[in-house]
Amino acid sequence: MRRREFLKAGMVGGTAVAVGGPFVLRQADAQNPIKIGLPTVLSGGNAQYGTQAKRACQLFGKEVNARGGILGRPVEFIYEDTGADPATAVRKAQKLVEKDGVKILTGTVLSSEALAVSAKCPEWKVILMSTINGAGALTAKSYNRYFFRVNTSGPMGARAVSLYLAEAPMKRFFGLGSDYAWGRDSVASFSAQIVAAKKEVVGRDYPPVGTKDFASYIGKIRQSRAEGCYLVLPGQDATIFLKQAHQFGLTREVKPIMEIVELENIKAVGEAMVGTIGSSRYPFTVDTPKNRDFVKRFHAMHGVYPDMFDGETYEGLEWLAQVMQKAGTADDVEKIIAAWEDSSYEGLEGPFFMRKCDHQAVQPGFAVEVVKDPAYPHPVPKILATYPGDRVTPKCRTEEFV
Amino acid sequence: MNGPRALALAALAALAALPWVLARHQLSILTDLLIFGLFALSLDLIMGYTGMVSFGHAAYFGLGAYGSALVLVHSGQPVPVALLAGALLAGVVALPVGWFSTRATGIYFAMLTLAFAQLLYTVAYKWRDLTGGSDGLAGVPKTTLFWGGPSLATPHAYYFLVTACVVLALLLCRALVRSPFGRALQAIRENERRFVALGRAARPFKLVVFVIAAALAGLAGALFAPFRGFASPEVMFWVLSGQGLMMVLTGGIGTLIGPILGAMVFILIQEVLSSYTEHWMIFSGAVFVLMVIFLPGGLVGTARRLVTRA
Repeated sequence: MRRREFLKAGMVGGTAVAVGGPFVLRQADAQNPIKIGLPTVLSGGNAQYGTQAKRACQLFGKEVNARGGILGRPVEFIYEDTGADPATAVRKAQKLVEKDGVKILTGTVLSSEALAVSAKCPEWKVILMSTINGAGALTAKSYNRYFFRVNTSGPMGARAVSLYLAEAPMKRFFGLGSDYAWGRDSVASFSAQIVAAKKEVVGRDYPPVGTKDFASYIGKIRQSRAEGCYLVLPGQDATIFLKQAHQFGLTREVKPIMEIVELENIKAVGEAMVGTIGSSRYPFTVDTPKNRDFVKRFHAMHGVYPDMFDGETYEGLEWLAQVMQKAGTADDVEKIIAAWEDSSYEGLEGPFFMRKCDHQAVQPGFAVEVVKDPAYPHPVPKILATYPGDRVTPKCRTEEFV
Repeated sequence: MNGPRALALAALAALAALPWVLARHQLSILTDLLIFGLFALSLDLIMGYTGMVSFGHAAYFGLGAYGSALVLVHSGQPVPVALLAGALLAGVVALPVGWFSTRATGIYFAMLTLAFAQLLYTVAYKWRDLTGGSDGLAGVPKTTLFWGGPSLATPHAYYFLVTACVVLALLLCRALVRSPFGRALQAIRENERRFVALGRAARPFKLVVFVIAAALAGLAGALFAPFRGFASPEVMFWVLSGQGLMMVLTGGIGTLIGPILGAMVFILIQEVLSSYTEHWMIFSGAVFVLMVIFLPGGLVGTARRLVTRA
């Protein structure tokens, strides 16, 4: 008896779903959301980057949906944790593409993850928009037309710093980069440009990602008698290195020069980071009306000042929305690619232009120094020099500069 | 027709019909499950039938992945050539490793396999020119079935290739453990001293089965690289070796089919949980602990016990 009742209930329920289903589907279709997938890092030593990408998405999503969305459709973000492992990144990206049906992927954190996911995009016919990944190879050797890089690349950061250092009195440099695509690419790029500026690279080394003890590297840097040390370390690695270098007194002898000067590091290391120079892909202190307003809105929502990838990811999303409006579609990937190529966009820190030949966004480059500023609760990056996009962007599909 | 045979035929029919029932993403997951099922199956051959617990089985999975990735990236040969290359590479490397490791037994054997596996991992990590270092080899293509043959790039085609490999490997292992050679392996597992006292040397048997298991793990890795489009040092890290042990124990050690099911359950749990929380490892660990306590003998062992009791 009970079993029969159960079956009856099941049949009634099934019929209800079968009848009601199409109606519900039709309703959803009218406001079918544009889904953007983020196979990003939410756990471990690089989680700060996933957090930044997420913060930018939250702000952008709230604002754009309040304005009625893109092409009248709301925007929705789906986050997946890759744990900073390229193989997992591909698996998660595949899930986002095949199960959730996203046409746009973004938020990949490590360049090695981006290289792995980007290689699959032609097969999946989806766009990977980088707002974080630095490795030069992504828009050079490993370029494919489904990959777009909105952010400043590693070689571009190295270029901005080198242009600044060419004028500085320092002569001898040491390159320390994480042992993966971004670290190796950037140290190579920095070395080439520093040598071209008639200066010397006296040593190079590549600690593995996730190194906790830098004592041996600090010893090597000291022995090399370098005047400046070029650092290409991600997330927690940079924080740990800077703290240890400070404890060992290395920073008094050797000037730390960072490829990316991040707020997250500044907050973690504190006053000891004052005086550090480097490049920034997006210094939140850049003084444009658009950026001043963005910083205010961002701070109101999250209670902190935007870090590099908060800004870069927000710019990527805003540009993408502009491109989708122009293409008149959020689903036809080929049309979106065509609309994005050779298009311009007014970013937070200045004008952007998406080159058709390698999908690298041309944009201004910055050399910054960490300074104390009473207006902020922590030291901030002060802009020392701004270089126009054509001076800091490499030749097409290469990592070389004119 | 007897029970097990009917069950096997039903499973085969299901495997053949599933691609038309499942959504694209589900088919991808199923392919993934089968590949790791093959990996767990190969581990069961040495662990369940010979009593050799290896802590470094992922090394051969990784070697297979790199072997096949290198062939496909540099020469674009058909996938079966890459599979053969991957399995061969794993088998060839396993020969000296096995020769050294089988000198020891028990925990010493386990430690030796772990040491060799970490050594191979370091080689893959450091040999940037060949392996791409920590960035791995990206863009491994799914080429064709044979020269000028049909493309394997569609999810269906690749699924059938994987299924065929897994079924063949399962049949091979089944024949192997039922052969006199397989009986000898089980005798070694039960009592190695007695086996030696009966006038046979145990080491050649152990070495041969170690190499066969490595080659099958290599085949799994060789299927994995084009499927994911990617090979990196992570696929030969000790974490995967440990997960292999968990898959075998979850499914039922010494049952061949059990580890395949175990791998499927293990990966499914991971797949589902990791979409909801970054702390999925706590939950999958808890599930494993509960399984070991309440389902000794794993899924298949427990099911068999229930069937015989009924």
